[in-house]
Amino acid sequence: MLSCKHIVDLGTDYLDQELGFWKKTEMKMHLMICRHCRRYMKQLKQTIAMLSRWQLKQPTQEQLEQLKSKYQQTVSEG
Amino acid sequence: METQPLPSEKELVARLKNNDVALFDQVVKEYHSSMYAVAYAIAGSSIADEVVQEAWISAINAIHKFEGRSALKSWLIRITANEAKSRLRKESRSVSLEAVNENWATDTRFTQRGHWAEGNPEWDMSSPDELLSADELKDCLKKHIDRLPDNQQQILNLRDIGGLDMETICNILQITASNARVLLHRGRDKVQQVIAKFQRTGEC
Repeated sequence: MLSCKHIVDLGTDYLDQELGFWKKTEMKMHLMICRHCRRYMKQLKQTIAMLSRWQLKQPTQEQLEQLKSKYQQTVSEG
Repeated sequence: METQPLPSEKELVARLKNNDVALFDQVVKEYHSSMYAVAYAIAGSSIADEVVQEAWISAINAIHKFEGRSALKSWLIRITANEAKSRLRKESRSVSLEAVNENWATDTRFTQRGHWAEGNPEWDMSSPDELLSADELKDCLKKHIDRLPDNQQQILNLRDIGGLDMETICNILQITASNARVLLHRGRDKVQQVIAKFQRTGEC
């Protein structure tokens, strides 16, 4: 039987569909009866969604201006 | 911060080819962060900025040839990864799976039998917008992500922040897909734990 700790450990494999049939089935059954692990899986998805939206680093004004003038110049020349 | 969503891919590309500077400005702001994450992970912090600028310039020079067979963002990320790879950092990069397994053995969230020691409560803040609106939490996450082992940090940057696909990541880092998933999961799990603790205690 998979423990909660195992379930937590397999989170990414489960989401990426990388588990074999039996592991996946075991995990599904565990998630049906364990709300803590269900929450963990929900939170893992929320974590990933947050990371993908996180604007960690914005361009500086100087970088932006440099790129814009390069863009204008290049694209208008065709 | 720009909140206006970008137009559809087709319109986006057509307008970019047609000298739409305002839209270009928006595109740079929207995708810069992901490109930076990829450049940082592959080439290191000292030249990441330079790599991203170079990648944008390559993209500008090639935009008229872009046919839209992939999403614009994927195209930009690929250009960034290539640019970064050509200037790959030289430091050694061993995959420290041993440390990873050691941490696993002593994870205090679980009892010896592997049950949740104190359960796992629901989060009050859960949407990306809610989570990203808490500056204190973001500072806390940055601190913890910085402290992750090199490999975990790289994969988190490449996959989740940069949006690069796993196959490309494995090629860049020269590791197997299963090792990559282990490292990625440890990084994600750490981020989950930091958010969970912050929501429970209000502390970093």
